Amino acid sequence: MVIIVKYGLYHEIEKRKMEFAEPGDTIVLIQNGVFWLLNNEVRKFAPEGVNVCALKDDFLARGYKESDTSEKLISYDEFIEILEKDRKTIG
Amino acid sequence: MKKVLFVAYQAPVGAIWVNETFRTAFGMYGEDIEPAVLLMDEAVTAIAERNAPERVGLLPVKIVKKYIEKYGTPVYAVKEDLEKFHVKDIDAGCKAQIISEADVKKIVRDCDFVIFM
Repeated sequence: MVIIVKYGLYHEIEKRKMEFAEPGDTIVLIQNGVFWLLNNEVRKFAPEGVNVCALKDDFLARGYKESDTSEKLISYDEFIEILEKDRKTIG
Repeated sequence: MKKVLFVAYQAPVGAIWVNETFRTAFGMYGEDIEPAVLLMDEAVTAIAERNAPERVGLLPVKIVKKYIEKYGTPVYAVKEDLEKFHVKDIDAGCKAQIISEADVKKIVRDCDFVIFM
């Protein structure tokens, strides 16, 4: 299952979306969702075994550097591949 | 048949999303899609007996009741949110199934697409 998060830190609904995640799922942070990378907040809601990645352009556009996060930064093409590979989506 | 869950989480008064969630779900019956609606967070106030967005000039939510009846669209509302927003008298016409937070996860993972409106 792919879970797309687009609102920023501490958004009530995005927290609840991420809590639906189970090992093997992928959480993709887009738009203001990339703020969840700060202080690795996303890991508080993404259990062990859940893949986390963020759109590189959205992250860099908000003034951060690639080295500001240990999570994977992906391109739009990779985002499409993730969506196509997985049959279920929460967005 | 694909199962699609439409989720409304914003209040029915001040935002269009509860009505849009139902309208979108009803539109799915023309396709090969099995829709359902989930009301969480502020959106649970939409099924309160005295909920009346029309008092402030907005579209009433009650217009969806005849379509819920006609199509038999499953409507879920989260128990913990009903308690959080002190919704006591529930409009039976909405035919909402009250589910717990734990059940929400089962329903969500059982669907093919979950769309937060």
